[in-house]
Parts: sequence; C-alpha cells; structure tokens
Amino acid sequence: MPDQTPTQRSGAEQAPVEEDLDAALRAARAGEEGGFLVLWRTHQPMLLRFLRVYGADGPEDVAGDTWLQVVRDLPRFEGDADGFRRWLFTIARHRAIDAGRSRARRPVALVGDVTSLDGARSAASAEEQVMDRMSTDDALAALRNLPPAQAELVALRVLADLDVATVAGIVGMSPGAVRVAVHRALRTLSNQPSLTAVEVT
Amino acid sequence: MSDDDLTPFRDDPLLVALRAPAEPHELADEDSALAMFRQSLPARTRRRRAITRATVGGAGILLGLGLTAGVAAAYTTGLPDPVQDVVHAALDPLPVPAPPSADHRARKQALRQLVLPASPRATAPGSSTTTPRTAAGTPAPGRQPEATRSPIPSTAPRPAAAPSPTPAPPKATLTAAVSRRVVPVHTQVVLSGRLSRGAEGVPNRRVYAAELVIGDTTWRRVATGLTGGDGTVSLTIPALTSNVRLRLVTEQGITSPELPVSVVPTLSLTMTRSGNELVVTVTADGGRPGDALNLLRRDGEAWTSIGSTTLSNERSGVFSVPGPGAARMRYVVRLPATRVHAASFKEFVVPAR
Repeated sequence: MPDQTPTQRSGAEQAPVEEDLDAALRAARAGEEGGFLVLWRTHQPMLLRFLRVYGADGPEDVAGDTWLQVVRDLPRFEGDADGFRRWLFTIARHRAIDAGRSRARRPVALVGDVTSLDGARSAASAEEQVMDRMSTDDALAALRNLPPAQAELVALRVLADLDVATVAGIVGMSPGAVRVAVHRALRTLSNQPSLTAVEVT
Repeated sequence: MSDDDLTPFRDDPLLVALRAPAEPHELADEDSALAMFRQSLPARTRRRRAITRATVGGAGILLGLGLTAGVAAAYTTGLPDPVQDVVHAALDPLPVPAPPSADHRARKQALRQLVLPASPRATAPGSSTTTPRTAAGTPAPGRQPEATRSPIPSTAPRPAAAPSPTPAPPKATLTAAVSRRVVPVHTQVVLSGRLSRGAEGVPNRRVYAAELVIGDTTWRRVATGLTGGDGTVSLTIPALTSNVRLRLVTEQGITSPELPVSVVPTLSLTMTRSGNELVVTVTADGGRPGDALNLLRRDGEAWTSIGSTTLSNERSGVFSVPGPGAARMRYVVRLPATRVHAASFKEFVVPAR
C-alpha cells in the first residue's frame, strides 16, 4: 500500500492533502479498502451538503447511489484526485437531477429541518450539537434560497471544490460568467439574512 | 484548486460554515459504503488480495531465510527480471517496481509455485502482516516500517496465525452493515452481511435479521433470506419507529455484531394567531407521551431557552410566542434524545411586521 497520511474523522484534524488523495485513489483502484475509506471520508460530507443544496430528498440515499456507481466504475477510472472529485460530483449532480425531477425544487417555508443525532446523547450534548450545527445548516438553507442556477454554481464551486473552468464546463457557461455569478451570489448571501420567513396564518 | 476568485470571501462566515469540518452524522454511513466497496470487487480481485496477504507472509518467511538483500535490491529494480517479477508480485501491493516487460499471468504462476507451498500457516489469509523490510531489519529506500507506514485505516480482518500445527477449518463468520445508522421515523433500512468461512463465502444459507427494540429484552426476527453465491445477503428491515439494535443470525446460531440504528422523530408545526401572540403547536411523530419539548430563541449569536413542556398523549405540545414585531425572530423547537429516539429539531421564523 502506498504511503499515506491518515484521514481523521474528527473535524479538528487536517484533511488529506492532494498527494495523499492521489495515493488513496491508486490504492482504491487496486481494491484496497483503506484507500477507498480515505476517499469516502474526504468527500462524503461535502457530497451530502452538495445534495442538500440541490434539495435532494434523502441526500444520504442519493449519495449512496452516487458511491454505488463510483465503486462499480472505479477500476476503469483514469485520473488524479482532482479528476476523481470532478467525476464524483458530476455523478452526484446527475443523480440529484434525476431524483428531483418529480417534485418541486424549492424548499418549504420552514427551514432548518430535522437534524439527525445519535440517540444516546444526553440532552445537554444535544443542545451543544444544535448550536454547532446551526451554522452549517443555516448556510445550506441560505444557499437553497438563492435562485437555483446560482445555488448550483456556488455548490459546485464551494462545496464540490471544483475550479471555475470545470464548473463552467459542467453547467455550459463561460468561466467569466461563472466567476461573476458566484461572486454575485456570495455577495448577496453575505449582505442579507436569507432564512425564509414562515407564513403566519 | 485555485482559490483566487474566492479570496474575498475566504473568511466569510457563510463560506466557513459551508466548508466546516465533517460532522459525525455525515460519516455515519461508512459501514454501508465499505460493504458496497467490498461487494463491488470482482472475485478475481478478492482472490488476488487473499494471495497478496498470504504472499506477504510467505515473503517474510523467505526473507527470514536470508533474502534480505534481494528484496532491498527489488526496491531498486536491481534483480534480474524474472526474480524482480516474482518479488514484485509477492510484495504487491507494496510499490516494488515491476520490470518493464513483466507479464502478469506468468508472474502469478511463478509466484504460486514459489510461495504457496511454503507453509500452510503462511497461506492463511491475513495470517501475517510481516513485511520483508521490517523482518529483515533493512529498510528499503524511502520507506518506513509497516506499523507506522500505513496509516490508511483498514478494516480487513487480520486474524492471528493459528498456533496449531494442524490447522482446523476456519470458523464461519457473519458480518453485517446497515444502510443508514440514523433514519427519520417510519423509514426502512437494509441490513446486509456476508457469511464466510475463511475467505470463501458460504452460499445458500438461511439468514434472519433480528431486531431488539431499545427497552425490550427479546430479539425478534423481522426478515429472512438466503445467502447468495458469494455468501452475501441483504434484508430489508420494516419501517422503524424507535431506536433498535439489529443483527444477522443463521439457523446454526452464528450471529453478526450488533448495529444500533437511531430513529429521528419528525416535528411538525402549526401556528395560529391569538391576539398579539402566535400559538405554536408542535406534533412529534416518533416522540412519546411525557417527552420533554423545549423552545429556544436566537439572541444574537446564542440560543436561549425560553420555554419547555411535555408531549401529550397525542404527542403534541403547545408554545406561545410574540407575534410579528419590529424585528424578525428565529426559534427552534427541540425534542431531546431519549433511549427510545434520537433528538429532533425544527426551526421557524417569525417575520418582522
């Protein structure tokens, strides 16, 4: 197995650098579970957030479908860690679009939906968890309230961590247009609160 | 990735939040993903990996007999091609360079002839993690000892070498993975696993999925199926309404490890005006009568608890909050975790007038 830097599950730890991901990718393609785990742990969180921005029902299930295709086609994949990320999120985007065709895309009025916590946690730690989680949840909710095209661009650029040229290729826009649109979206989000207000009856 | 175009937003709270480190629940499906990866491996790869484990052990024994220098030479492609070829295969997946004209099939054949007859113990899958380098005490260029060199986590079983000179047949084992560890109430999960004896799957055996509802003392069989040709089985667990532990079990009593699954109640809100106030009725599908229900309000950067109640027999609770005022107000209703269910939250916003 190639030399690796461990990927830790704790958020306090550093994510693997690109060279580590290249090595993990080679190991995974050779059938090594350790390599696959590094790839999965590195990309799964952002994949779930990416799918939440798309409004996917059951993002975990869509992510599961995405990984199913990845593990099936991994032996035939050729490329480096950047290419893998591009491939992964392209698959996820297609899966999310498929999953979303049958329902309305926009979120309902109430936001900050059910969160999932381990049932064994105490009430105090659950409360701490809420405080920690709201930030990312808020950010994702805010992103979902952008026009869908803008939200997609930000998701691809920020969550999928794809460069401008790659994003442009995926969505069929020019790199300049992508850059401007992402800037505009981020500035909009920075300047105004974006939670959807509930309709009061 | 170049971050130049995002530099103006690098410290923006929104970007920081979007790119925040992984939270535990985002990595909860690891077992399922790993099971998926294992099942995707073609049989050829599985056999190759089994041979790899055995041959790494075999290579260790060979090295113990004095081939240290040869392996060190292998890392520098200093051996004659046929020997280099065999050592490359024996040390696979360690990155010993292969000779440029290596023929894979011939290499495997030579490897089998050279290594596999060496020792029955050495051929047991996973029987040895000894690397030639550490066994010989002569680190190859640019490499570290195996124990510190391979921090990539591996969940591959590594049973200890059998001490008996006459190896007994390996015990059958049953693994299990669940599709999701945390699910909304009334959601099904898939419990999958593999019945194996050594490296070989055991086909056509009946396997049951058993469920232990938290608080109960009796396991209940909730699904059944037969193992496939490779020993794998996947069973759908009926929709869950409370926390459970799941496991697979065969008719012969072989059991898998237990896997907990937490159920998240679904909170729904209705609001009505009552004078200057809003009456918020919270219904907790998956909650239990008597469960605590809390209301928190966002004050600046903090959440302040402003009320609590308990769920009625109809699993609902009622709060009153001020109606629309000068400022928009954010609230969250929290149903804390109990032994029976996970925590659940629902946020709502009262807009400014």
